[in-house]
Amino acid sequence: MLALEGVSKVYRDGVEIRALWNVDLTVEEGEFIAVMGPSGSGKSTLLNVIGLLDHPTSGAYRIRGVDVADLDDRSRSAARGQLFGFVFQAYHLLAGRSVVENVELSMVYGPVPTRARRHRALDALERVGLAARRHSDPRKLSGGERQRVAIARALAARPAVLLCDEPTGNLDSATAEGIITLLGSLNADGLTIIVVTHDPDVAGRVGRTVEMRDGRLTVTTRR
Amino acid sequence: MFLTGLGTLLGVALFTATMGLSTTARLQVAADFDVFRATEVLVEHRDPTSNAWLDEAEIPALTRLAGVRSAGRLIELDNLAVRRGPTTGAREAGITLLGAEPGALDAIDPRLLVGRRFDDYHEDAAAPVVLLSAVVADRLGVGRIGTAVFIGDAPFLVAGIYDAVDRRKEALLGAIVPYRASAPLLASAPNTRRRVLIEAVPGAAATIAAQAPLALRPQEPDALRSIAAPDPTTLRGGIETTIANMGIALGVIVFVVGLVSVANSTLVAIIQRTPEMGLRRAVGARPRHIFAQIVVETALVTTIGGLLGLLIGELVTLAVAVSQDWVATFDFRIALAAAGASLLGGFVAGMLPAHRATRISPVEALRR
Repeated sequence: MLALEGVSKVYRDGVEIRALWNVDLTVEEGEFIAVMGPSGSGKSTLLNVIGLLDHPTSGAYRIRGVDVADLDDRSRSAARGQLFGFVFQAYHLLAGRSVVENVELSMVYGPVPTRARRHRALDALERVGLAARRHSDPRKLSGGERQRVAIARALAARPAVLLCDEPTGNLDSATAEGIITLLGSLNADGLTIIVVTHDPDVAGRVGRTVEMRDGRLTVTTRR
Repeated sequence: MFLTGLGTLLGVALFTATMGLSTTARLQVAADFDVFRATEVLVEHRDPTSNAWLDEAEIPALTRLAGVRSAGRLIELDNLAVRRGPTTGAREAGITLLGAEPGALDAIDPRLLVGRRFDDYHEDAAAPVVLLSAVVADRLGVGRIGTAVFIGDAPFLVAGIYDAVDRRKEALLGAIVPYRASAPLLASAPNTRRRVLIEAVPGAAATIAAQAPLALRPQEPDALRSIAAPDPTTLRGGIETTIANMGIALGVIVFVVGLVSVANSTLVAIIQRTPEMGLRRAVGARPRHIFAQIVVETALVTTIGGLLGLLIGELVTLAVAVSQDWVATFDFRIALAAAGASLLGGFVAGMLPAHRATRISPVEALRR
């Protein structure tokens, strides 16, 4: 489904920094992959390249056979919004908007008609178990609840791939456990998930773990 | 967000208030304007010691001019003694005496409490009749017509007593005699002014003022000078331009300063909202979506600020008008212009922050 071949991302800021170096990675439909590695090893850059937030400097990246280098800005933005769902360590919920409005945000730039957004947002909140908090102010939610809202926001746009950057990084282990269980059940429903994490507990629950060091993909473990 | 819009609010409030006030004041000037002053034209000689010109003046030629309602010779003598009896020691008053031809008397238009005006007969005969103002009559103890009073040493018969005049307000503290009847008194008057008094139809004063010297003294028109009240339309125009221009300039300056501060605080807000911009990009927003969002948000802020400013400006106008007993005016075009300027200004002020927002890298924005 997703195929990276010899993908590199090099920053030239005085010195050359190889954030990604010659990465080959293929992701199949329905996989649950953990990307592990020390800080600065290029995990987040990999996720950003996969999610079309960042351009590789060299190499080929194909999504369902289409080389993303051939996409113009409009198609890239559309693919980013509709193909990928993002979950961040810092949640990035908008203050001053209710939970359900935050969830609807993922559909604002897509093809979902305005009238259908509320319905799909509530479905997604139901899925993460927060339908009852739909009118709450996100600032009044706990960390775990906020991350569930962020997951619901990603789910509402019905992405093919969920990209999670340290989703449990700000959470205590019990709450993190709940989030991991939720991701596992979403994967069981057929959602492809790639999660960047430091947490070895997460690694133990996924189908495949890839490890990164200095921008290179070093070890792949299948369970 | 409220502080962001404050600059626009103040600018629009000032703009609206000054526009509203200048319009209100302008109409008030028109309302206050003395219609009698505005229809009065005086013609005098440039050389104040010249005496003969008035007797030579072509009054009939003047009265034939279009827009002249009435006109006549008028001589004013200051500080004449008026007495009740022929001897010193009788009740006496120092007055301004007006010697007026019937045409000038019509222009003065005294409102008589008792008696009647003198007319062409009295004028031609230089009849010693006098109209006393109520003030002078009171001081002399004259209450009835037919009473004799002495002006200088000459006896005059009181023909009427008046308490109001349309023109030549100095007559309210004096007396009026036929023009020719005043001639014997000239010797005893230290100070005289010789003029032709014209009552014009409204709006004609300026034209008549220009034509009168030639009509009255065709052989030497430059020797005469016309004095006319400033034309009310010119005066209104003058007040309109000065007050309104000052108000508009001030309002525009505050408005622009407001917009700059809006642009600046939006810029700061964009930096604070960097993660939101990143998130929006992540859920599929294109840079142009981000641009449009910021511009529209800014315009919304300035428009709300502008509408509040409009309200405050109108309230200030209303308050001033009420306290001054003026008729408050609401000009819909000013309101429309203010609202439109706020909206447009918001779009302009939002351009730079919006451009900055589109340049935020989503990767940087989401990194935490």
